[in-house]
Formats: sequence, C-alpha cells, structure tokens
Amino acid sequence: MKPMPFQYHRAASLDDALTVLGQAAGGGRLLSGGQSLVPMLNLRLLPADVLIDLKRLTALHAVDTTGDSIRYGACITHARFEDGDVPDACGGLLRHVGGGIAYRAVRNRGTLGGALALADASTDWVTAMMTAGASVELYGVRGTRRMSVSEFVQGPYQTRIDPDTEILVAVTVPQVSRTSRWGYYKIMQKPGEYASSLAGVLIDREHGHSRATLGGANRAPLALERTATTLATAPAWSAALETALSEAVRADLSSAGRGGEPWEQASWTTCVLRAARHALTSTQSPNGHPCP
Amino acid sequence: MTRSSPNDRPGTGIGASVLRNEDGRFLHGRGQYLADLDIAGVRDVAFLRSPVASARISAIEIDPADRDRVFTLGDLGAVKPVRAVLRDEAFRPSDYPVLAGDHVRFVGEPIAMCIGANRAFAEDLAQAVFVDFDETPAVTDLLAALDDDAPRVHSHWPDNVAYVHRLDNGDLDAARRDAAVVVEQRCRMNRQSVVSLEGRAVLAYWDHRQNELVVYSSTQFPHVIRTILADLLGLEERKLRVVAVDVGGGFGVKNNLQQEEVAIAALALRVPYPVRWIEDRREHLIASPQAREHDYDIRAYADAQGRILGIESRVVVDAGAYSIWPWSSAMEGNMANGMVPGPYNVPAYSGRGITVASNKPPLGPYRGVGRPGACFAIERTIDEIARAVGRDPYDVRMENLIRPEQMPFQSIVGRFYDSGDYPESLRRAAELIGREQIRLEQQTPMADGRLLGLGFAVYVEQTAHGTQEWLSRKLTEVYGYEAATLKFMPDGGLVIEAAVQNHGQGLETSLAQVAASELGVDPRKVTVRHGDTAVSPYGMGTFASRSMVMSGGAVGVVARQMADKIRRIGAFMLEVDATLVELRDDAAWAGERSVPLARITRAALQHPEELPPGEEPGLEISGTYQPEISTGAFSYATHAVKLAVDTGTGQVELLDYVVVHDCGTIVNPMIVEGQIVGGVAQGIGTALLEEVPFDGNGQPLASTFMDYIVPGPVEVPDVRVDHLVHPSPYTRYGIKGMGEGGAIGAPAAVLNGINDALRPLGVSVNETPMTPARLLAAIVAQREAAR
Repeated sequence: MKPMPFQYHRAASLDDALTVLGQAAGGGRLLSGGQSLVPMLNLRLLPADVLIDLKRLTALHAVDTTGDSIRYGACITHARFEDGDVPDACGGLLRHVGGGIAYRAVRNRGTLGGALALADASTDWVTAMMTAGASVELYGVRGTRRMSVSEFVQGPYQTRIDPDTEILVAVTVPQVSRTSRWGYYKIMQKPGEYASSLAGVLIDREHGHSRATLGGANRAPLALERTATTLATAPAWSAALETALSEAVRADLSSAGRGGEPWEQASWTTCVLRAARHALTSTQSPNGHPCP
Repeated sequence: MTRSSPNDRPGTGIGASVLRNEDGRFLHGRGQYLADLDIAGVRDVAFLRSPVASARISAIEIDPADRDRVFTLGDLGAVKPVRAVLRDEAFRPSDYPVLAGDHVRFVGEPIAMCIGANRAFAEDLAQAVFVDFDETPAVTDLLAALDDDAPRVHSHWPDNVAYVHRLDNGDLDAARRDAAVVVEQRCRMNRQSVVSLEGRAVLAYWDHRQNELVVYSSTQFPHVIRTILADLLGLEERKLRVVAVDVGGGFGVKNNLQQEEVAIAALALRVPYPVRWIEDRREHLIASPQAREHDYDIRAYADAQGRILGIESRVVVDAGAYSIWPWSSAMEGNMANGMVPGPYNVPAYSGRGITVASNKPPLGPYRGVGRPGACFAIERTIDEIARAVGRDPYDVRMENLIRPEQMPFQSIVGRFYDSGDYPESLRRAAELIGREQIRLEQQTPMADGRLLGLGFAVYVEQTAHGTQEWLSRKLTEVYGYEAATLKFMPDGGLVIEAAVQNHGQGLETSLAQVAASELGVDPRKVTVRHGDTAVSPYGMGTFASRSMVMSGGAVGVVARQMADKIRRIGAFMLEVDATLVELRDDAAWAGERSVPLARITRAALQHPEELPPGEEPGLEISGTYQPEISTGAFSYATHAVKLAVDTGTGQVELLDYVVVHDCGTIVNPMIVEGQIVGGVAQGIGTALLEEVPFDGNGQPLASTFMDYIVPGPVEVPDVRVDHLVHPSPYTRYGIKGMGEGGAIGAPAAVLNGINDALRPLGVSVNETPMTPARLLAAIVAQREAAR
C-alpha cells in the first residue's frame, strides 16, 4: 500500500495551481486534506503524476459573512465547524454535521471543499449542503462559475467540475432565520464509519422554504420535494405526520425512480423520518447548539 | 465490574493480580515488532499476488533489467511445496506451492517476490510484471461447491470435498420415535479475516558468523516453524534460527506455516543481503489465512419438556483453496462437527463435518477454532426447542446441561469433560444479567420503540490438548508437551526460558508467578525469555489455549526441582533439616530465621565452597511437562446479553453483557479477565460486523477497513465477568486454558438475544454477521409476507 511515484507541488497561488494542473494534462490531482485522496493513492486506485497542494493558500481558509449568506473557503476543515471556529449559517446544522464526520483525526485534516469535490455518496457535506441550499464556486482558467450543490453533484464521484481547469474554492450557504429548524440523521454500521444512508431536513418558514435530502446508498443525492412540502406546514411531530411523511418519502423515491431492495427503501424512509423528527422535536438554539 | 474474587489471592504467586512485567514497554510504546528491527542493508519485498481467483498462468513477463530483483517459483531452487494432510487415507491431499506455479487458486495467492530498496519501489516493480492468466470458473459458494457440475479447485480430485468427518453414537432411531418435537435449523457463520493489529511479517538473512539462516517471523510457534522450514528448504535444522520478537496479536493467523515465511527464507538463501516482507492491511484482509465460514443443517429431537433425545447435524465448511500446515484444511470442519453437542446431555448424535475446497484463501485457526460456529448452531437450536415446547430458553438449557454429579463426563462424541458445574454458571449469569427483570421489561415497549432481547449461550472450551487429542485428530504433528529452562543469576534474579511465544497473553508475568509460587521469588525479578529457537529448549508455542497449562506446568515442574535444591542449600546454611525450609519473599526461611535467596544463588553459582557436601554447583534446570491426561482440560462459561434491536434500521445495541466463567485455578485474575473481554470483543465482531464477502468471480469485497468493520469501544459494552473455580483434576495446579472462550460464546448469545427481541414480530435470523442489512431485510420480508 504505497503510492506510485508522483511529483509534489505546493501551490503558491490559485493561478499557479491552475497552471500546474493544466501542464499535468490530466495527471494532476488537487490535494486538500488528503483524507480520501491519500488512501486512494496508497491503494494505487488513482493514478497521479503531480499532487498540487492547496492547503497553504490562505484565501481558501477564509470565511466571509454577508447579510444573508456565509462564504466558506474550500480548505476549512471539518474540525473548525465542529469546534464552532467558523460561524454556522444553518443554526447549528453545519456544526453538528462537521462533528459527526468519521473520527477526529480525519476531521482535523479533511476539508469541506475536498469532500464536495470528491462527492462520495456517503459524504456528509453533500447531503448537508444540499439541505442547506448551498452553492459552490469554481475558479478556472475561463473565470468563475457558481452553481447550487444539487446541480454540482451528479452522482457518486461525479460532479460538474472540469478536473483539469477548475478548482472548487468556496461554498456559499444562505443564512437561515432564527426560527428555522433542522434535523440530520445517518445510518452507519458503527459510529465514524461511512454511512449507508444520510438525511438532512431544514424547515425555515420565515424565509419560506424547507428542504429534505437523502444521501448515501452509492447513488446521487436526492432532494425530496414532497417530503419537504409536507414538512413546511407540519405543526408538530405526530403519528399522523409520520404516516404522511412516510408516504411523501415513498412518492419522492418513486418519482425519482430510485429503486432498491425493500429493506433499503425501509432504511431510507427511517433515515428521513428520523431527521424530520429530530428537526421537530429537538430543542435548538439559534446559535447552533442542538440539544436533542 | 465484578472482580475475580474467588482466586484473587494476596502476594505475587498463583492467584494474584500482579501488574504485568511487559506493561512498561507496551504502555510506553517501546514494544519491538518485526518492522521495528533495524537490520543493516535490509531490502523490502513486495509480493505480486494473483488478481484473479482461478486461472492457469500462461506467461510471466519480467523486464530483463529487473530479472535479478524479481523471483518466481522457478528461481527458488528445490523448495518443496507445502503438503498438509491428516493421517487418514480418505483425506484428499493437495500441494500448496510456495509461489504459484502453473495455477492460481485464490485472489491474493503469491506469484512472485519483488525486491526494492523500500516497499514503494518493490511495489513499483511488482506492478511492472505482466502475468497472462487464462481464467477458469471459480468456486465461491460452499454449498455450490458440492454440486456435481461445480468447477473443481484441484483438477486431480473427483469433486471439491477434502474430507468428511463422521461421528455416530447413540440410538437415533429411538430419538426419532420418541420425539415430541423436531426442530430443524439452518445456521450460517460467514467468512472472516482474523485481523491481528500487527500483520504478518518475515525477515531473513544468512548469518556468516554462526553459519546459519536467521528467520525473524511474527509467529506464534518459532520452534515448529524452524522444523518445517528446515524440511522444505533442505537445510539442517541446526543451521536455522527462528525468532519472533514482539508479536502484535496472533489469534491463530500466526499459528500456521505461512507461504511468505518459506518464500522469504528461500529468497534469503539466494541474495547477499537481508530481505523482509511486512504485510500491509490490504494483504492481510485479502491473502492471509481466513476463518469460520460454516453452514449448519441441524435436526434436533426433543421430548415435550424440551429434553434433547438426539441430534443430526451436517456442517459444511469452506476451507479455501489449500490445506495449510500443520492443521490441514479439515481442522475447522472436524472441530465444528465434534463440538455441536456442546455442554449438553445428548444421548444420540449423528454428525457430518464436510470440508470443501473453494477459490478463496485457505482457512486457518482463529480464536475458538470451529467452536464459535458449533456453539452458535447448538445454542440457536436450544432456543428453538424451547420455542417449540413453549418454555423459556433458560429452563430448557437447564434441563439439558450436563450436571456436576455427572463429572467427569464422557460426551457422546468421546470427549472427556474433566470437571465443572455448568448449570451453576447459567444460574449465576441469569441472576447477574437480571433475567426476571428483563422478562418484565419486555412486557412494556421501550420508549424509543426498539425491541429488547435477552440471549444466553453456554459452551465448553477444550484447552491444552495433549498427545492423545492430537493423535485422535489424525494430525501429523503432535503438540503433547511443553518445555522450560530455569536459570538463577548469581544475584538471585531468575530467567525462565520458555518455548511458548507471548503475544499479548501476559505470559512474561503469569509464568513468573508460577515460579514465584514455587520459589518465593518476586515475579518482578523474573525475566521470561521466549520466542527464539536459540534461547529456549524445543517446544511447541502458544496456541489452542495451551500455554498456561503446558508451559505453566513445565515451569512448575522445573521450579519444584529448583526449589528442592535451594531448600537443601538454604537448610545447610540455616543448619536445619531441608523439610523445615520455606521459600518466600526472596529468601529461605526456617521459622524466624532466613537466608536471602541471593546468598544461596551466589553459593551455587560462584562459591562451591559454601555448598553442602555432595551438592553440585549450578542453578540451571530444564524439564518438560505433559498433563496427566492428554485429552484436554475443559473450561466453560455462560454468556448472557441484554440488547436492543432497532427495527427501523436493523441496528443492534448491546446494553449489558455478563460472562460467568470457569477456567479452574486462575493464575492472574486480571489477565484472565482481559482475555475474556478481548475474546468477547472478537465474538461481537463475528456476531454483528466482520465478514469477507466474495463475488461470483471470487473477488473479495472487503479489502480495507472501510468495508471490513471491526468492533470498537462503542460496540463492546462493559463486560461483567464472574468466576466459578473448579480446578482441573488432571493438570498441574488445576489450571485450565482459557484464551479462546470469549470468542466462542458471543456470536451465539448475541444471535439468541436478537431472536428473542424479534419474537413479537415472528422473525427469526440465523446468520453471522447479523448486519443491519440482513436484519432489516428479514424484518421487512416478514412484514411483506404478513401483508
């Protein structure tokens, strides 16, 4: 489990990184936290001629708060979310998610941008950022593109980035209202391991939107429209709501053509229902400290 | 935590919870494992391994520039293939070449050795070798392996059956005739990796000064490895030294001859520099000997009370592609077949243990060998008998357990259970887990909607198998005794040279405690040297829960002789009769008067003029020990688990876990408790998490820890341990081995608990690991069927 030979380049600037990436002609890989990339190199699953390390680019560690959104640099680690070291645009959802990714050793190095760019189906940030209604910023030789995370992530390990000419530099998350509520749930064989399914729920009546997202299962993440609509007007958790939500989830899965074994469907439904229940029953403070 | 009070004696000898002598280096991170050895000029070897499960090799292309750094089978000279058989003509032999010859038979089989200045360069070299495979269909399912039209793993066999182990005793016709209920049960325990923290590792070089081949290996039995290596390499055994430095866990996976051991040793005979191979985790999960993989088909006959009248059993075990030395491919299946009757009165038994070959890595020993599966099968059967007769599984277990007044007990398959009170262990476990309280709790739903379950498992653990046991198993090798040398230093310190190999069992302490009991020496002044053929007398090593009985016995035998001599010298110095001399606290005592041990040792080693007339100088004695009976000492235990099943996700949480255990005389209660809890942790892995699945082409689907999940602190509850103490009548000090039991009981107890929880849903599950996917699938299937 040792990597093939490769060159290491510490990027001096984003443009320098793009130059080296272009010169590598398909053999370049951007290195951020390395928590997925390095094991894949060690297993010789990925070829790489040159690793371009973005970690020293301070701009990618910046946080910019504007009135209605927060822009997070791509190299911000999961641990900084966990530790409350960066403001939370979602009233505690991002802090909760950051603190639940793998193990602390991974969170110390793994980054928001790296996780989204890899787009593993089990990655928490894909599900969480879709739930948050976030968008990504891609800096490239032809300028900067912005698109929503749901548009960006097309499937497991598939995104709309051009890997030879673009770098994911930031994630912008709209700020939720003080009365919003969120819920998050994931199913793992063991805490810290990859989740088989993940679900995020955000209900923000003041801003007039609610979202529900199902991730995992080695499939593209799914925005659950009917489920979100049902939640938008749900007064409180009840048996009737649970039934209504189950049917909404079923309808969402069906209209998305998401097939699976009956037990998988059951598992996904459980996951979404528990995220919804979390949103409606946990005590949540506006500053983002969930008290389940 | 319930402390091990019955045996927790004061002092430092047998029965005392003294801290381990090895703690210092391990807790400070100063253990020295094979990869830590700093041998000048050593080069790394990467094995080129087969990427396919079944193929003929039509060509191996090596760049001529690399030819002196890449070694295939033909480059190794006259190295014999490994042939591990039983002494039974019905056993189908097969050769396991050191590197693949014309065929590969599992993904991960070594094909070539590539030498680099470091591992990365060696892997680059391996990647550059081109092998042309003509792929053939693979055998990947243990039942399909039995089909008439199944592809054959070994073309010279008529089918894929390596061995059929048959046990028939008692009147099954009567059982069939008299049975009020017949319970049919299918159980499957899937294939696992063994997962020692330190992988396997070998380093070898020719020592010109000693004119010998030095082989460092992360092994559990260096002497035995030396013997077989000498044979396979055609070397005189005196010209081989095998050393195991600190071994980071074995659990059985290092209790085999490894192909890599032979290959690296053979390579060291051909290159003028030291070579080493350090297994990485991916190799460990893919290519090291694997474990378990049993399929049981059981039919139990019982009366209306649930009393067993007879059992018919067929277990099929997938032993993989090759038979590994010395155990043979049939060990697992034979043991599983023999242990189905377990701790119960079974008046009639007809059992078949069918070992099949497949295109998977060879099966080897893993903590428990055969018994975790057998225990799982019989314990699930007991619960289902209880269900069939409408009684609580606890009562049906009680009904069937061998009673203390039946001891010693000859089991239906001829095993000789030496001592114990099995029902008492069940009674105590039920009390500790709070059986009656749990039954009350189950009447009201849990607040979070989960289902509560209670599971029991009782098992016997045959340990310290002696000469007769190995002969009756038809093994070619017989591990009937153990040896030790004791040497006093002039300053009163003691060195024990033992042929066993300590890899986490605390033997550097517990063997010292045995010496302390006999010699009154402080265990902290005792050094135990082991794991090196150049250091100790010939002996067998550490496996099969044998070391404390066998090596402890050998140390005891020798220490007793040593004590006699020390008492004679002490008596002379104290001017009393030797029968009046007592050894304790590093001194020889006669009433209130004493002479320090150091004075006696100095006299014996440096000052013959101070010795009694006729006493020979020297304080170095070697000896061996074998127990009075060689059919083994039988430990036993009851495991009880309280758990909750989440029917929405299929997840299982263990809420409480109790073990009531009897291993006879306990040498160090703290170490014993650690062994039990560690075993339970691995058993929980078997029950809920660990599996190496294969696809239809024989590709392993769990090759990293991302897919192969082992239990961690969250999955292993605080295991509460209590002890009964029924010393074995047949071993020195009454010690029984106990290294494996924790892993034997846990899968059965957990699966019984899950089934107990699922009972309101009418769902039954009989497979390990019981993953969320399997559990939820069973629940959903039942729900759909009921619709």
